[in-house]
Amino acid sequence: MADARDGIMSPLENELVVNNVFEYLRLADIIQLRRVSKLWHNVGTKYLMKRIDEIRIFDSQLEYQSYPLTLSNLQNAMFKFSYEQDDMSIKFTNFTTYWFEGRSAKLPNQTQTRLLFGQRGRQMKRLTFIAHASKWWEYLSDVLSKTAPNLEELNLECYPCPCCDVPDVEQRLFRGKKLKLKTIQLRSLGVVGYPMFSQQLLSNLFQCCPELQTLHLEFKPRFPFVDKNNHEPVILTALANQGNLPNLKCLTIASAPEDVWDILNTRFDKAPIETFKITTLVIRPDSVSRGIQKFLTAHTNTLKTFYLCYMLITCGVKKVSFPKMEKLKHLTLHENSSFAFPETDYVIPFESLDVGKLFPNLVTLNLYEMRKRRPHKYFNACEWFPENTTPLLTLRNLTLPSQSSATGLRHLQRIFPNILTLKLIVVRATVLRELWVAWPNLKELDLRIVPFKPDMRFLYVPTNAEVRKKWCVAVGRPPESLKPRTPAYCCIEHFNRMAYN
Amino acid sequence: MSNMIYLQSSDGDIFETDAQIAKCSGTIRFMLEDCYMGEYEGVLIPLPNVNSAILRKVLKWADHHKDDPVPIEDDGHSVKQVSVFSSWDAEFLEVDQGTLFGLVQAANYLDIQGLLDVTCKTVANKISGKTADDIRNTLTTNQNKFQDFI
Repeated sequence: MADARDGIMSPLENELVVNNVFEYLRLADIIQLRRVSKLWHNVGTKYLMKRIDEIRIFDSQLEYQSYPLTLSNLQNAMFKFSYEQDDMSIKFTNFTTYWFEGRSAKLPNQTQTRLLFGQRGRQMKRLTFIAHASKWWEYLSDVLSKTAPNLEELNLECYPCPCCDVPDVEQRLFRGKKLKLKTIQLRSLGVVGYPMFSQQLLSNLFQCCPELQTLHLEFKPRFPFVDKNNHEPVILTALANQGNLPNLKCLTIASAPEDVWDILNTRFDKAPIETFKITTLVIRPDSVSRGIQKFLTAHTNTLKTFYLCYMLITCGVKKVSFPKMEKLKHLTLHENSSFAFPETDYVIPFESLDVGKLFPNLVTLNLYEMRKRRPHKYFNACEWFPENTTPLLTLRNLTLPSQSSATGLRHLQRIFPNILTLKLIVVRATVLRELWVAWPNLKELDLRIVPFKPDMRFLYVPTNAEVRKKWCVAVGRPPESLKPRTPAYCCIEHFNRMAYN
Repeated sequence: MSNMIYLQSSDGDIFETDAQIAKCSGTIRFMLEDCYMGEYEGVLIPLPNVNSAILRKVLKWADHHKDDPVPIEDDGHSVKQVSVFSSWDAEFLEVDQGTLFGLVQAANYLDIQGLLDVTCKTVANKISGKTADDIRNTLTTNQNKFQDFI
């Protein structure tokens, strides 16, 4: 109890004072200072709730059980809920987003479902299911049709499991419902063993979603990076058969094997796709590159954003030749070959980019190269954009892989003269001087300087007089120039060359 | 014509001040207007929670800010309007920690919102960027110690 006689209740124990002090603190400070005392914790938590737009609460009961929270008027609460947590001390009174995660093989029971969706299920806009229980399709059907009928975004992340192996159950799921879903995301980043999405179920689901605008598919295919279980063809066929393609504006596909391109080019050619992403492109065989070309050509009038994450190809495989895309605003080319290559046998999978002609209205160009150190760098400004490349005057934002030469920057300046935002990795800071000459109007620079590490090894020269003498001879250095005990290192490359000679 | 009143600190010292200056304190204003019904010429108001040193500084601050506009009560939802933090205030608040806390406490007790704002902002500047342990170590004195730690 504070000493009232002296009027010495510490001001830092007075809620009103602490409230006033917290008004002036940054978010990071509030998070840190909540640990000072219980009062500070309570006041700080209140301020966090006021300032944070989106909150993710995980189910570690320990942290919260002492401080029950009632979060009112929270606009974006992302609540990662584990249904083992029956006795929740946190109550949401107004929220728009649920992050549901079921970790065990059982689904929420009635009480848990009521807790999850009971009061505000109709206000829910986004739902993420990480589901691998045996009857979760049935559960999902109930949730979508009854407890949360106003969902706009559904994210399903699945692990291999026998989903719904009773055909008559499959047939009645989602049937006759009209859902408001605008985005569906189907992911599986675990090892994919066998198909998880039955065509019947997906057809039913897509049929119920006349307003679908975005379909995002993300799988982690097994080596050799081909989806053997044909998830993508199954899903895309189901969508083409049952979905409402005239609304489809955003499509993300994963490994994109040959048959996917057949489906896209025959069934999706009329879809007004504005954003198209390929997250792991393997061009093998040649028909894949023809498929991409055909798809891009069919959508030149609508495509505004194109993201291509590709692997390098061996020489001789047909490269992709981009068509002219006048509407394209944002282009990302991301090299992500996950294995090391011997020297220069592998090349980029598309023809040289005459950017000014092909994409005359491009605003953003992102070029990424895998960061793993390899003996050969595949991005070379002069090779990618030859001397006769048409300059691209509209480009404002540019991201480049690591640059080691000022010549490359000068070359890029001629092709992209009006850059305002630049993201760059350089291995030598001296390159920087060239930046301000090349783009004097640059407004935003995101720079990462990596140390220059030559790919060489150094060996410690033995101190034994006889051996040291032999080493000196081998590297072409007079033995008397090196004292017997002086610590010395010898570059292995130097050593080898002399030894071979 | 000025109405002079007298304020008595916890040490027993008596300070003479203009009622208009003293009225920047919500507590004193309430006493003068409600308890003395406006007839407060020469009244003595005991302030048992404020010692002489602090009361002297409070009156100095109040005298300097006597012409400031009256702050408008907010509804608690809008972003806090930061009181003007002048260079005079900055110099005025260049004091040791004990005095600063005394001023915070006095501003709170006397209900002087302007003084509370600038002192709290000064405290916030002092504790910004520090860890919880730093705060406990640097701000905990004999007088100001926390009753309950987590």
